[in-house]
Amino acid sequence: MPVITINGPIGAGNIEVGQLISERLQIDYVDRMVFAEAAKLAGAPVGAMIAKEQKVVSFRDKLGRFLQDVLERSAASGISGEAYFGRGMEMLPAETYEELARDPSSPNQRLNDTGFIEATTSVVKRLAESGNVVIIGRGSNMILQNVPGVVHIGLVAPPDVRSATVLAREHFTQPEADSYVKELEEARVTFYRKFFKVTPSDPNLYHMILNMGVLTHQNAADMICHTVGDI
Amino acid sequence: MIPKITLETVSREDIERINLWLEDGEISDSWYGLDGDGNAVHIGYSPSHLMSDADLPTLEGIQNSSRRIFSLYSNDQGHIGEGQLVIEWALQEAQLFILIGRKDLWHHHYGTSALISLLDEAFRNLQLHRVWVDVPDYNVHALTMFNHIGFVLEGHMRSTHKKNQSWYDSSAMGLLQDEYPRRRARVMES
Repeated sequence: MPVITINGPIGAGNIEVGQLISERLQIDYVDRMVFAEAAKLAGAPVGAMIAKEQKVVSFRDKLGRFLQDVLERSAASGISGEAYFGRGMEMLPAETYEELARDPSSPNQRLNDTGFIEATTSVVKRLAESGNVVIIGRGSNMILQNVPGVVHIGLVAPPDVRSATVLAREHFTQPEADSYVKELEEARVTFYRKFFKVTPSDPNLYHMILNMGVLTHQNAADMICHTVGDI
Repeated sequence: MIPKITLETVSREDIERINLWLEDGEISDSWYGLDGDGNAVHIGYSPSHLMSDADLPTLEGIQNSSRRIFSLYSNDQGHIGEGQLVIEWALQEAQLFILIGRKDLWHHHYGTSALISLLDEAFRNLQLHRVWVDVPDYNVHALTMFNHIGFVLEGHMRSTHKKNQSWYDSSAMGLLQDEYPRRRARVMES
């Protein structure tokens, strides 16, 4: 009853390789469904779960972009001294203010983080106990790090390969895709550091790391299925 | 050119047509098959029972804030099918069901257009955060359509759907509110 986790940056082929493995080994494939199920346990929308994985960088970037806009508008309007807060102020989401105002170690924040990680852990462990599943991301390799028999796979790929994958999936321009890939990778690193105190690219976290810049999805699935059979 | 589909209130005549469409084996087979009594399975209510039993509640009685049922109308073909949003308000999400009963219109973008209308309703009007579907593997056309719109495969589970005494795998696919505009634009452009 194989249990496999696959982790890698967005666009590295986690989805495609995971689906091939699921088909070949005739096992379940679970991706964002982890958060969909965890959301039910936590009583929160899926977006609240996803935000825990992705929001740190995006909020910081939104704030950075906002402040840059303010300074540029101030310079353009010739105002010296005070920054010009014109149109665009409303674009900064209200929750960003709350985030900035809130002490990150407040009981409310701790509870939110605790609820998030407890729900996610519960779903991932339940999936692993049922067996016959390939789980994509969501910290599954860390949650199941010490569970015997679980095989952890890491995928890496150069930025241009990841951007191309995202470009095929989304209505992006090339610069938007490049930026999206970069932002989500920073968010993934932040997520792992925050919740698991590790760096996701650390090879010690995986049985095997595959370079998707030089392998096809089929190659990767072949190698993983072979490894799983041996283990 | 993508046909225009509007969401309308379900009338008794619409239910009669749904009932007729589901009597077609090809349509009911691509949907949820037959129940133990040999009647075509429908989601949320039974069109055949609703038509034949005056004591059953009307469709107004079946619909509520958590189950929105719409008739799908095309500007050039009239009534073509039915869509449903089964909403979990606490989680701001809905499970979506769609049936195109006019099989002569299959593969002519009517399903895609109807799906976009339902997603517009869910994300723009109802301000839901996530819409998801659970599609049995045998419904390849539906899987292709949801994939084309940009639904993300969230999970693929074994033996989740029973149809005509056999079990089938299914794919759970989801789309988030903030993903929708980009993917809608891509579909409309293509």
